[in-house]
Amino acid sequence: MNRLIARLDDALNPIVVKELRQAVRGRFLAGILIFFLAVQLATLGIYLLSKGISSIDLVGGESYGEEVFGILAGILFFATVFCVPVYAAVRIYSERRGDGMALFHISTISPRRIVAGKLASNLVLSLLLFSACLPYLSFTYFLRGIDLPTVFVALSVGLMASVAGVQTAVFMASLQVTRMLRILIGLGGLSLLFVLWIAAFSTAVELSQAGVGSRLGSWSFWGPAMTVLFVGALLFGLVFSLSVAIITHGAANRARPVRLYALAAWLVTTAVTGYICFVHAERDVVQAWVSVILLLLAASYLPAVSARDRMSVRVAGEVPRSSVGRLAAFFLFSGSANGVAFTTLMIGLTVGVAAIFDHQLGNVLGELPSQHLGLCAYLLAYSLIGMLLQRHVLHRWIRPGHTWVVVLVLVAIASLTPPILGFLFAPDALSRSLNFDMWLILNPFAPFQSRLGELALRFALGLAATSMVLAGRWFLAQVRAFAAAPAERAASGTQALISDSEA
Amino acid sequence: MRLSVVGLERHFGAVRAVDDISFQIASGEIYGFVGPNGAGKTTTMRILATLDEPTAGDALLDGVSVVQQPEQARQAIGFMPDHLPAHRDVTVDDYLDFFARAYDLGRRRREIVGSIEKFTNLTEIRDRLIHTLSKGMKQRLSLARALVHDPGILILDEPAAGLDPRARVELRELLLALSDQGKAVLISSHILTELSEICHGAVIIEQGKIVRAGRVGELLQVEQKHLTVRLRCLGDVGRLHRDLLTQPGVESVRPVADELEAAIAGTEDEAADLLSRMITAGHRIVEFRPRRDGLEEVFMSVTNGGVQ
Repeated sequence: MNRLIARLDDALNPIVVKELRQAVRGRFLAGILIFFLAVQLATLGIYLLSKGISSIDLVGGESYGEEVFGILAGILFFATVFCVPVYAAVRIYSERRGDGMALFHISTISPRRIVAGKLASNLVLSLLLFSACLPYLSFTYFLRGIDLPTVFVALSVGLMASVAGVQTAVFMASLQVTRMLRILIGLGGLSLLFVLWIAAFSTAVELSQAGVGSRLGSWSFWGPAMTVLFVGALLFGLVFSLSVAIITHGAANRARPVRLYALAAWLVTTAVTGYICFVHAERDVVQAWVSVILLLLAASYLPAVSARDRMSVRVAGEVPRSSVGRLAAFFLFSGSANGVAFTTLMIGLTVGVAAIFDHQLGNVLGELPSQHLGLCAYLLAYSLIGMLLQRHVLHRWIRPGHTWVVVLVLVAIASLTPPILGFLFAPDALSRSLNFDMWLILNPFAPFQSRLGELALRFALGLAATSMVLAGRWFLAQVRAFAAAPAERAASGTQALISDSEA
Repeated sequence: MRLSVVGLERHFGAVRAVDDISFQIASGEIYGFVGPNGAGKTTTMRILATLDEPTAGDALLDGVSVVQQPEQARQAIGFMPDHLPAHRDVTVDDYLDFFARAYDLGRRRREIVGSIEKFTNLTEIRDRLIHTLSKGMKQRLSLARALVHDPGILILDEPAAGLDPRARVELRELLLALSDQGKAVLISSHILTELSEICHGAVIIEQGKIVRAGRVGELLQVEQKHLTVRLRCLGDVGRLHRDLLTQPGVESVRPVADELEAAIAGTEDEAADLLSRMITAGHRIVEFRPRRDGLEEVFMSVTNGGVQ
């Protein structure tokens, strides 16, 4: 038995061991446990007293379980979906601020293990809180109005929300940005966690009101549940791989795992969408697929142009020698031009597959692909213009890694300036304009305006083509550097060996 | 294990923080890495520790490249940064155990951590929380962490900064013991007197470039321009003072307590001739001590304090 425990101990993720030891020694865990248990106890006590204990008839009186469960679940979810992720984020931030993360890097622990360890340790904290609160939540069963399967499913929703919250917190805390951006991202993260808490809480309340027990054997429960689980798992995987990439050393080929994951997720979702559309004749799913995939791909232009232009020596060392391998590697390797090429390729593939689905299913998509294609073209154009501005004008003040901020500012200026200027200097023209939407032609969401759709798409494609011409030299330089990497590697490798032997 | 740094460069925009640095350290050698603030010491050390990437060049650890094979290189490197461990709610023992796990030491973990705690004199404070430790204790803990996976090469960035005299002596003894174990040590420090006592060699850099490098004896010999000699005699010290000033090669003479200190242009040969002439002149000299320039003097003579 001791040998087994020792073997399990050796196999534990070091981050989990460290984090849990710190949590046990620190005040956070004990504090939050005592505080929320006290709050739950007080809430339960006050509720029962306010209703009058004598009125509760455990045999056949009124049902209070559902209401009490909602209140207690709300408190528990606040602790696990909001507080635990915030705690995780603060710890990661403090480690990244010091040399803590650097020391992790010089050990042989991998970035994937670090992120997995952070997730697992915070999941254990959440489970601890769940188990501590479980007696109170189970007690609601005796107050009638809620069944045990509903309690279990609602708590599962809370636990999944907690995992999603921790993963979001790990991702956001891992970002290396300036203090001002960190504050903004922190506020955004807090808002997101708050929304997640509200969503988990309202889902739990809804489940407790509707009851799950009678529907557990039907597709009406498992259909939506499986869909949410599937999409949630894919998004979780994406954020996980992004978190790993962020804490991976900048000189490493850190984009490759993310792009491989994105490619795999794209293939899986395409296959599942096709299966559901053609086998189950559920045609709406293809609209959701096109929208979500193209929105995610459009957004991924921003990190793509924020990557480094010059390949690190390590990345250059991994470029395949064969021309076919090199072509495939170009789309998957780290680098700004590589990212733009990969995203554009994936957008092209998605639009192509969407067109096939649309043709086969009988025009179920309507304007959706062209609207999203317009959005992608706008974001490609703004990303390339932002990249050129950062590289040639703003490079003294803004690092390449923060190009995404330039792009966002550019989008904001382009979207807001024309209508504001029109309002200030030509209010008559603005009011006379038959199509007010024309003032929004620079807005990336203009293709979604019904009266502007076609024109906005053409304008976006034109803008994208112009920006691609402007960024052509930048793109070709990186393509040439990538193509020449194996030859340069061979030359410098020989030089290094000569130098070493001479020394 | 041998560390070979070959044409290392690191540019930050137009600034060449590290500019074509090459040197070698063999197993069992301690090399000082000396330079004014902003000379590029920490940048070089971070590259060697695989935490930063060079713009050009490489560093090889027995042929393993820190650029191309950082994962393998990390097994051979123990890095002690100039920041001290600052984890809250972690004991000394837990901290070392964590890194032992991170290096996948497996079953030998407890035994190794115990022996390192003993070696670095941390056994008695193994249950203390890190944030309650003194600076000297934290330095020892940081060194212990760097040693946990038994690396062949140690890269220590300012390990003696802020230590009291006792802690410095303890650190010096630890480093000498590590050298005896066959580890190659690269150590940066501003306390040059400390370095000259333990280092086999030194690399002096300024503005990212090496200005001098080699074994300590060679460096001192190259930079030796004058010799300082302490003399103590029985009898008339004033007459000795006057006679010394008339001797060829003697640049200055000044009394220090009951002795005289003479600065001589030349080497130990000139010093021996001077002693011979003084004895012939009838001075009853009972003590004659030539003092060589140390690393500090060499450092001051080859650098101008410039930063980029």
